[in-house]
Amino acid sequence: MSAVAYYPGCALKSIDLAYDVSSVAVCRELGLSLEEIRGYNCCGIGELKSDGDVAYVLPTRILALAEGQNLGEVMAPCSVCYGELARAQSVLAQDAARRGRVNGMLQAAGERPYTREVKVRHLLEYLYREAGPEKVAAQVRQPLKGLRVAPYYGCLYTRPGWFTQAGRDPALDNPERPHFMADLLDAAGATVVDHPNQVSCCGGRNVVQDEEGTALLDYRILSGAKEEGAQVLALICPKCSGALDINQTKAIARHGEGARLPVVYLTQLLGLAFGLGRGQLRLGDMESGAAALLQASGFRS
Amino acid sequence: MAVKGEGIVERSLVEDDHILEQEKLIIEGVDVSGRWNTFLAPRVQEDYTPSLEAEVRALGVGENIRRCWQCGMCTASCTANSVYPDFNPRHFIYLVKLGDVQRLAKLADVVWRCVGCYKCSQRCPREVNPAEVMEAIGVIVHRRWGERVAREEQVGTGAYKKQIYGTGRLNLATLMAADLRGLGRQRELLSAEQMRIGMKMFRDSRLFHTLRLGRAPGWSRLRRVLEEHRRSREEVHP
Amino acid sequence: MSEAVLIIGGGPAGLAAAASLADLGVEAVLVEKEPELGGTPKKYAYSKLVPDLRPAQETLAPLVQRVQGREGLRVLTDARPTAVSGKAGDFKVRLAGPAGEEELSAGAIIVATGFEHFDARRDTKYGYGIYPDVVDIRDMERMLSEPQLKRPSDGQVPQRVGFILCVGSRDRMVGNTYCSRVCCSVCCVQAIEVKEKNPSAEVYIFYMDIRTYGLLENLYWEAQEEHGVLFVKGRVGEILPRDGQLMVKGEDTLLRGPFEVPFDLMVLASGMEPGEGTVQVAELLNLAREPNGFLAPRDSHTAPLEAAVEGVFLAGADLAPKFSDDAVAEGAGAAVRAAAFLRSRAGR
Ligand SMILES: Cc1cc2nc3c(=O)[nH]c(=O)nc-3n(C[C@H](O)[C@H](O)[C@H](O)COP(=O)(O)OP(=O)(O)OC[C@H]3O[C@@H](n4cnc5c(N)ncnc54)[C@H](O)[C@@H]3O)c2cc1C
Ligand code: SF4
Repeated sequence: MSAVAYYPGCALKSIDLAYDVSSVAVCRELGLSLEEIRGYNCCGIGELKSDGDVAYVLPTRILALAEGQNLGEVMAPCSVCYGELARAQSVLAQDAARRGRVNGMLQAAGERPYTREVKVRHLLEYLYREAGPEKVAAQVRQPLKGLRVAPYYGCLYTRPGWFTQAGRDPALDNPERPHFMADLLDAAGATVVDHPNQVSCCGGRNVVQDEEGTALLDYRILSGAKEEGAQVLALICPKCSGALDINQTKAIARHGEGARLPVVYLTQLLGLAFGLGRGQLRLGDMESGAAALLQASGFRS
Repeated sequence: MAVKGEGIVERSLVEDDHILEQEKLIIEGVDVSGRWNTFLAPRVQEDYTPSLEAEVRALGVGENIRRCWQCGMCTASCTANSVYPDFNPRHFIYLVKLGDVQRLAKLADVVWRCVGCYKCSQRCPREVNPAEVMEAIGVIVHRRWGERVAREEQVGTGAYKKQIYGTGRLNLATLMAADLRGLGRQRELLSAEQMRIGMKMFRDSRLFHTLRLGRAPGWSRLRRVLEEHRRSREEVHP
Repeated sequence: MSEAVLIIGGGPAGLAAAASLADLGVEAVLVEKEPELGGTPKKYAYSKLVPDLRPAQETLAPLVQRVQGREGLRVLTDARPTAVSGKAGDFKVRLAGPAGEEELSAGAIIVATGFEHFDARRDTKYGYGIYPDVVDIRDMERMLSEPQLKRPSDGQVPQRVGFILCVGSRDRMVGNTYCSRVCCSVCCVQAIEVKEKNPSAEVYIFYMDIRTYGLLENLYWEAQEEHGVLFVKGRVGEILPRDGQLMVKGEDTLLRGPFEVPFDLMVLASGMEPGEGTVQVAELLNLAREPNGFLAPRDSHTAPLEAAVEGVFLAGADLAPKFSDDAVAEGAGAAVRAAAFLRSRAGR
């Protein structure tokens, strides 16, 4: 199978290293080959949108780099990066004038322009379509038996559908009722917990600016999953992790113990089921007690 | 001193800032302080200002605002509205379209509460992309009534932009430090919790990785181009 | 050269066309892909009809009767065209029916292939197809044809019923930007029927605007004035199950704020789309379609019932969403245009 360009972004190379190493390791186990984009930049993290065309330059540079490495697809595990790339990809595909202006800026800086169409994919959809539940099940050495996991998809993995094509392209997940993560967790032997806020927002964008609002949103998600019997919440985005894992203490401080729930990345759970080692899972990096819970439940990494 | 608007019949029907009343006022030697000089601001919409919508559209990111037909799907789906009842994207759009500057000014510190979850844009039947229209309205609000916007937001947005434009990379650790410094809360950086996380990240090597993030290769040239472009935009819409 | 007219589609429009041709003494063949004549209202067992609340059965029966046992008119059900060649005056049409394939000649063709209901599963936020008590107006027609209205999940009589207008219509997100035209009036009628069957039921219609155009305005007034149906201005964003009921979340734009209200039954006013049969015939005959996929007339001012392809005439809901009175009128109109066309050629 031909390689896909891997765009980890900034968070995965620093605080969220666990998501990077576990994503890479899980893909390797599933026989999916990734080629990291060289010399990449920040996607813009949604904070530059009001600066006009400039906002498109950052993600477009990434698409152009992938093109330069002769790769037709970019895969991002971070939902924010994915959203920014998908936005640039879809807008520029329809707006030739804007594409010209954006490429003009890239070229003025001696960068390569974006000339072809590069497909943008989220890690979860990539795992689901390129491997899928059957291949995942085939790799399981340590089934996650008895572990009650609440999948949490968040926002930009599918939204809005006219950037991502979710809801239009049948290969993609359902934007209102996604199920790809649930299916993969089920294949890994976990008990999937249905809960009300799987596509609600964690408030990650305003973690620092608006602690109070974020804490309330996080409380709703965490307590909602817990009330349905979840022992752990599975994520696919480092921004969500910033809110739900790192800042969980703030939700607990304001709204009580209902918000206490270990949080992990999907790829950490899949890696655990595949029998991967500590260095590839980095469960200890998570702040909300996932490592202790998984150990106490008898899973070994 | 009497309570503001004390003499008004059905006082509860009148919004506070519609009552114009000087605590101390002497006109031609006559003391008309307090209720003796009470006026009510008109409650009737007396004019429309179409230029506000034009301003939003010119930002590019709000270009589809004209499509809105006020159905309420965005607000029905809104995350921020569920936390802040005054955050109503449909209503903001209406205010901008009518050019109701007074009402919008009152909501200056609410507009930025959008969490960017795109539920509205997912469901909006007209593909207005309300999530991004809110970005545009946010810019207008910052321009006109920046001082009314919470400091946290002003500092936060500035810190993001400074770092991304400056280095082409996002370093969450330094970003947070810059944020807290900007808010005069640098002492929190030395809190027991932060120290614990710092030590943990030192031990598990993440601190090392974070320090290594640095700048994107060749960024200084791109930075110049981007900043020039931003400047030219600001000249058009100061 | 053939003197016969082929009519594709046995709904109100096709039936009217066939009866009119028989009245004019023009030879005709009517093909309908379903086992029964009567079109979509028959297939989905519509209950009472706009504009006068008469039972569908009562209004469809005479339309069907008028094509039965008529001289010079052949009626084929369970049949559809599979290939067309030739041109105006001498079309060669291959038909596949229960008795196998056959080929026939036609001088002119009337396309009356109608519409399909929007599949509300495509608008995933409302959970149609997942929650049994979220139904659409098509299901509701069938449910209202029963003596008592019962909700699908447990057979209970629903006490609080809500309608959501404009599902699958006027929505870029689902790809349909047109108004389906009938749904506002249909929902008013269905709301009235709910109240007639169970006067203690509460009925709410969530709307952006009410398009009971022309003379149909009286249905809107009647629902409000005589039956106490309540109209709530705003959109519903999602429906979630909660404690055996449906939690309906939206914004009431007049109250300027969100609502979360429990309902027993929610009805989605799913609109009209050109159906698979229309698409198929458009491809067979090379017919132009307007941007939403409906068949496009040659000139909507001077030749609204004629296709750009010579010898092909159009009638009914395959042209645009419409009520069956319009479809019937167009069927008769297309029959006259087709007969006139054949006569002018014979005279030449
Ligand atoms: C929920 C709802 C309620 C309604 N209620 C009312 C009402 O109360 N009163 C009213 O006047 N109108 C009502 N209408 C509108 C009414 O249904 C239409 O106006 C009417 O059915 C249009 O008639 P038609 O013949 O053009 O199309 P249809 O009724 O759709 O008939 C077309 C026929 O063509 C057949 N066909 C399609 N393709 C082919 C093919 N390739 N080969 C052979 N056969 C084919 C189909 O099987 C079908 O039988 C309602 C519509 C909806 C959606
Ligand atoms: S959902 Fe779209 S059309 Fe409806 S009020 Fe919001 S922005 Fe306007």
